[in-house]
Amino acid sequence: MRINRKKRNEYLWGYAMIAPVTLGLIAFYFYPFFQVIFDSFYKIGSFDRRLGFVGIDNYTKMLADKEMWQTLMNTFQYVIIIVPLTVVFSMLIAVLLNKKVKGLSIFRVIYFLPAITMAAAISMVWRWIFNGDYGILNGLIGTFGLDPVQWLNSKQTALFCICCVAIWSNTGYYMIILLAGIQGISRGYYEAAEIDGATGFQKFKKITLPLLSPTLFYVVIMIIISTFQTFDGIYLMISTKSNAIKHTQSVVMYFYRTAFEHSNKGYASAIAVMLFLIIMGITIFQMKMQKKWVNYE
Amino acid sequence: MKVKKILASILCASLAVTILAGCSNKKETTDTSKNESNTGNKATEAPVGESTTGYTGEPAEIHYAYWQDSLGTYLEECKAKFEEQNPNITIVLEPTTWTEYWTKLETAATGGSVADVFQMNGPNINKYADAGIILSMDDYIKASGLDMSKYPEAMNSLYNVEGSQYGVPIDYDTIGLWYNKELFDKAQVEYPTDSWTWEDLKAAAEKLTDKDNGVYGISAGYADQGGFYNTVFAAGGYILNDDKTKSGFDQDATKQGIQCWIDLMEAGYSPSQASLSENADYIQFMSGKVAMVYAGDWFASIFADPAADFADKCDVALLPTINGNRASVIHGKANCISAGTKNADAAWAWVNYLAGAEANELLGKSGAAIPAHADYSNLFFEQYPQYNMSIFAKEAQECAYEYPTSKGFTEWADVVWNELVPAYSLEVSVDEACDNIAKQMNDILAAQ
Repeated sequence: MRINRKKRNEYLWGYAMIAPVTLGLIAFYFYPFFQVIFDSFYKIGSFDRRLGFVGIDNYTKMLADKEMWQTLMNTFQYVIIIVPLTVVFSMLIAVLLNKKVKGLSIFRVIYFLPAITMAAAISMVWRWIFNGDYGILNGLIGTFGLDPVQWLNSKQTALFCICCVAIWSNTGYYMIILLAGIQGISRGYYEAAEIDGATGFQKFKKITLPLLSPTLFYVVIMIIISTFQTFDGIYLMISTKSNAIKHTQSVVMYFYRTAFEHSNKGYASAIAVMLFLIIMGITIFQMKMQKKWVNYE
Repeated sequence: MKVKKILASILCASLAVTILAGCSNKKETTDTSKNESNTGNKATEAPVGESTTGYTGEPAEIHYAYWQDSLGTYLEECKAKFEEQNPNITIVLEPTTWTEYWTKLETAATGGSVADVFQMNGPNINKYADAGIILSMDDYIKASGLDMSKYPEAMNSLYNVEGSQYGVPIDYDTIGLWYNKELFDKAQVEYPTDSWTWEDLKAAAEKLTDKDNGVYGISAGYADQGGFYNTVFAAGGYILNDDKTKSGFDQDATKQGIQCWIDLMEAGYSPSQASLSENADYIQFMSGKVAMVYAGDWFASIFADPAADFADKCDVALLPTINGNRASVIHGKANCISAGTKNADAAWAWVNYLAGAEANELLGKSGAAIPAHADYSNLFFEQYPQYNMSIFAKEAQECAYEYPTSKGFTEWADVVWNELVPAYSLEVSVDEACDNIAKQMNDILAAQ
């Protein structure tokens, strides 16, 4: 097939337009992705010195690594706690903020604020709230005569504190996405239902939920992925010298410590690959399952 | 179906985000030097003597990385004076907080964009020298006639790796027993004296502890240089044997030097390990919750800070003796030159300036740290006439033990921390923790 000059010119422009993003993706996503897989078969020491090919040693080491298993457990705990609660809360708030109430914009701003606040700033404030000796939470429960709790430094409570902060700071963001979805639903459905005498809950169940399901699906997938990758809240709130670090660190946190604090990039790469496989597996499963509940108009 | 397409592309993007986690943030773009050509490592142009640092080479920009906040003023002064004497060199100061310093430095060194000159400590010197990240300074020291005997012997040897000098000492530090006079007065306990033994300390801690008011006698949490290293040496134990091939953690004396802290914990004279890992010992000390704390001389500048309103409430005494022995671990920072610097001569000129009389005098007067140069150490002590600072010099001369470090330090230090924190948290016995450490540490040392 001959391509005339005009057409070729058009193609060239097309490629020129997508070049920045494509090059960015290759440099910052695809190249590191394959590099990580490659590195996971090597022993790598400080300053990235390659100390030899070790085959699947890094992976077999992972199976025997107790800290790795504990870390996986923590991560699944985060997912099990954070995902449903965030979905429920953001859904609830989105539905409530869709109603005509006084000061609607103010409420929307309040709920959205945590999403646009720096994670570092949020963590600083919560660290002070949870502080075992000087924190406001212990001060509060102290007035009821309860003993102070080392919230962020005991194995029993630290993980839940991280969950609370994660739910609190994520809810607003997903609330906005759901709210946009709800407002995309035609008023006509509700009016027809009202004429038929449907109650508020019936309207929610039969109209809002099914028509919102594509948005909800997107939200659920995003929360699951971001929760599997949770890092900053833990990094900023739990010191690596804390007693609770092993019972709170996520896979990404463990990856970071292994790669940058213990200078063991080979093993860290294997951890990253494993996390990638887990998230990919779960996402594929969800894509397959969506037929059962997601309703595309 | 449009929604589905959008969803699919968003999913692709978010999957890619996973991979981002695997992408190390290596490239810290720092323009290390404007100078391209002058890479000669020969010390031919290096100046002679301490007072002159006249550098005659091409214009150069030297980046200097350091971690200690309180060094800021001293370094600004040094920079101004040095640039005046060496108009061809521009110094760029790069401060980093302590918690991030080593991670950042290693990442920068890996990516080849590390500062030309940077501060080094004992735990890391072997790692950096072995990997060839830093330059041996032997030729420069010889050519410039820098008198190394002016610095404490323990400091020189700490930065001497296999016969080569890789760092020039900046300062040195020892550990003292700081105490809150107000709390002592309140509990009517005599201030610590030079003749205190560990038993005296324990007895005082008992009297000072007032749980109803949330006051503890001492901070006995996990600390190495500022904690059990001192008591292990005093009890006659050791962390590493002399040729650095075997761990000392299976020795009874070593265990005793750790057990003495756990005893204080068990007796309830100290805030719990959990509390201390959230709110550092010196913070609890300054807020009047803890009456005694093992802390280095560099804390003088923190305690005396007028903003803290604490300056007059505390003082410092010699560490107590155990079995009649006193021990204080001596450590200090040094300046190293990056092997990748584009202008080693200019980097050396800066190191040599910091090693000299003028910079040491400025350091002493700044009150941030004890200058390593023997002639100027006293200047630091004079900044704090309200405290009994002479004990730090006395310890350095009479009972200083070199900071234990070896190849594989970061690995075994991690093991020590991992195993000992549960002991300090009263979850496992010292015996068990120490035996575990010895086993793992010996394996690590054998692999070096």
